Amino acid sequence: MSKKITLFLIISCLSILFIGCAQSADDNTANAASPENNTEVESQQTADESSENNASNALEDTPTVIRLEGSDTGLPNPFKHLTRGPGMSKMQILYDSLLEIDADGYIPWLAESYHIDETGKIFTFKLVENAKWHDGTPLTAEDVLFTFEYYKTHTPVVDNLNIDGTYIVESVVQSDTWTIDIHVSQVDNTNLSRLGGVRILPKHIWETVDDPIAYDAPDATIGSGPYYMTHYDPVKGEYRYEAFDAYWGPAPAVDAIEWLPVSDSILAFENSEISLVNVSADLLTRYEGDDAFVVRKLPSFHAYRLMMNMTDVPALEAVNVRQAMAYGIDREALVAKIARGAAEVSSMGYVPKTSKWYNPEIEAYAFDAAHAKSLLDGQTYHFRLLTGNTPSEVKLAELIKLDLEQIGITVAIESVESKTRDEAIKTGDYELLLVNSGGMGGDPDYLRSIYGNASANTAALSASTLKGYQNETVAELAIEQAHTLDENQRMTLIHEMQSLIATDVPMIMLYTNQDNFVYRASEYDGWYARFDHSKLDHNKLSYVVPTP
Amino acid sequence: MKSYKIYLAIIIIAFAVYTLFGGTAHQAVSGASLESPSLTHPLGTDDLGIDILAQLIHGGGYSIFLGIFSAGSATFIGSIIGIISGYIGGKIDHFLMAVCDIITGMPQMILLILLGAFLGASYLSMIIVLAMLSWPQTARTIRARVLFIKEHDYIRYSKQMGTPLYAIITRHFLPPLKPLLTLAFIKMMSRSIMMEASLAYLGLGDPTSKSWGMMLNKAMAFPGIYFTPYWKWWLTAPLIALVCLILSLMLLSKEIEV
Repeated sequence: MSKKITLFLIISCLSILFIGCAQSADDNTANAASPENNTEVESQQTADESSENNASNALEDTPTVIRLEGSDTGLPNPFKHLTRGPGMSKMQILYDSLLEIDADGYIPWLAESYHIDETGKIFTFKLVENAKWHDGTPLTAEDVLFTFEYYKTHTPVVDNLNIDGTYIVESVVQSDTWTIDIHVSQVDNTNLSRLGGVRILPKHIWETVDDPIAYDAPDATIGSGPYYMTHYDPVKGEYRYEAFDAYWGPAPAVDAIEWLPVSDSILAFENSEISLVNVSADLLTRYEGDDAFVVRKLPSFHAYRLMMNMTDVPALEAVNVRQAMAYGIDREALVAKIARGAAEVSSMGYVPKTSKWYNPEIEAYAFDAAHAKSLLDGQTYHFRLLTGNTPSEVKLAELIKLDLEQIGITVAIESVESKTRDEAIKTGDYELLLVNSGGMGGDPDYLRSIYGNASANTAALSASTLKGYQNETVAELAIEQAHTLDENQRMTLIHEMQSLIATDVPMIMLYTNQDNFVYRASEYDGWYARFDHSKLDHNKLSYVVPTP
Repeated sequence: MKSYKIYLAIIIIAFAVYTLFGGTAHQAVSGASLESPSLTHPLGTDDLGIDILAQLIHGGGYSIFLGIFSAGSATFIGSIIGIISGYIGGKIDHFLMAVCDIITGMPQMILLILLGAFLGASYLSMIIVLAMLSWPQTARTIRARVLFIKEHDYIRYSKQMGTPLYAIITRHFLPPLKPLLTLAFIKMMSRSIMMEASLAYLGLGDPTSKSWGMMLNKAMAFPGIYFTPYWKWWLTAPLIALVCLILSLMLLSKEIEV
């Protein structure tokens, strides 16, 4: 009897100890976080005067720091950051561009004004006159001129200046100290965003650098942005940026931004270790209705997608197999189970349903296992599915596997580290591949990058990585829409492209997550979403005091 | 029959019955996501809507048989090496014991992670890796016992009579070593199950398996699970089952030892 009691006590103690770990961690970290770490961060949110006053007061009083969940996303300069959003955004905070992006569109930034001539081929940018690099050197039109020349031979990670392998900038002319004229090779709807989004490089640093990818000297992160980097630890994934006092533009909203590794982002947020968190739908009720928290629900402009290697897997060349898979996957169930309802089934034509360019007439591919089976006509297939190793990716792969088994397609899941998976997209070493990727906000020219055989503006996903897909009509439409200035006419072309893409199913679009950002307004409430990218912490304007 | 033996028997019988009847409920969506315990799903469902009891039954067998196979392999390798080392002695003994020292001296968990990464996270590779890391302890124990046994007169007479080595081992060494090997087997089984669960919990096991460690890993990976009611059935069930299994094996080995 006593043995049984002992056994029961041991089990109970171990269980309580295990489950209670989180709570004790809470207490420990909460104690560690206060009081010196529990700094009050104040800033702006709108042009509201009181809010701005609070911000300036806070800046004067105590050091204010925004802390975010971090991981290593590469050295934050235009040549060495990782392709995905966290890497790109860290680089963009350090480096300014001619134009910036706010909630509605493109706004003047390093270029205080711009003009496009009547031919649509000459872009004149007038630069601000008080911009400086982080080392104190003035930023002039010479730097801008140098940047466009340098990118011609040294391709940055985000390569916006090449279309179909052609560098769009024909020449750059400096008309005076602060003005430049950029001549482009052809009219294109995306020229302004492509030129305006280019990150300007300091000529005095990069003119002597032949191999920018190998360059990692201390001045390799000197930009002209509102913050400069003071600490980077690639092993821990830590970054620290400090406010650049001599910044020409809107004042930095806080004294420093830090990215720190955290084991559990929810616990870290609860313990005030980080300032912002993206929570799952199940946790929304915890924060909604509590005045201490602000909840922002935003479309993520990211979608989970199932890529198919049509080059190396002959079975996937057949459109009926791809369509059968599209019908055979219950995407509504994926939304309900994996995203816990906080997502939307994606359009097979790629353009998000929230976009004005979305074509609602295309095939919706509602779940229909019987139709999927009939498309396969009794044939069975076996594929290897490569996925990342995050829990949601593995679970997604499991559900897809179960669905496809019902229609006669067996799947072997191979789970790898996400960087390995991303590399496989480029190398084509996969049969089926599951990935969550963004770049779906803003102008629908992304269709050209992905389906139209054009060069991509991100290296994560591009036409060259949609292995084996080639549709001449789509490619022609992709070019035509880019040169069509009339919006209605362009809308027709974009709709037609979506229709063709949905019929071809070159990759199966699964679902688009909803982001549920939560933060404490009392700490910092300056978070903004861009019109084309909803991640609040990726937006440069989230870190500066807006001009009224 | 003691309660821990009943518990071990239940795990094995439940798994055997479930498998014999072609049970697939551990990998099939049979309910809504995160259903709380009910008559249909006595232990509720996970986020995919898969029955947790079915996963527990399948995972129990997964863990027990992983333990049996890896401990069996380790015991086999360890006993062979221990007997050879102890019986032959000399340079071979020095060499084999040096290998044992090297493996024992290395941090086991890190080695497990490294080997797991190279060989992949499949069931077979897990068994191989666990066996490769576990045999030295058995080899050392067996060697010490063999050194003692081989000094007995009947062993010397057998050798002088020209009895083959195989016969000496099977007839004279193995019977007295049997209790020792059984004990080593049970201890290693417990250790292997713990190590597999640790690896799975750290996310280094086969991500598609339904082992108890992987069940814990998936439950813990659910964002903010402690702020939801789901941990009560999703996390607690595999946790208690695993703790009970390890304790049962410990008690079993203790009984054999006594």
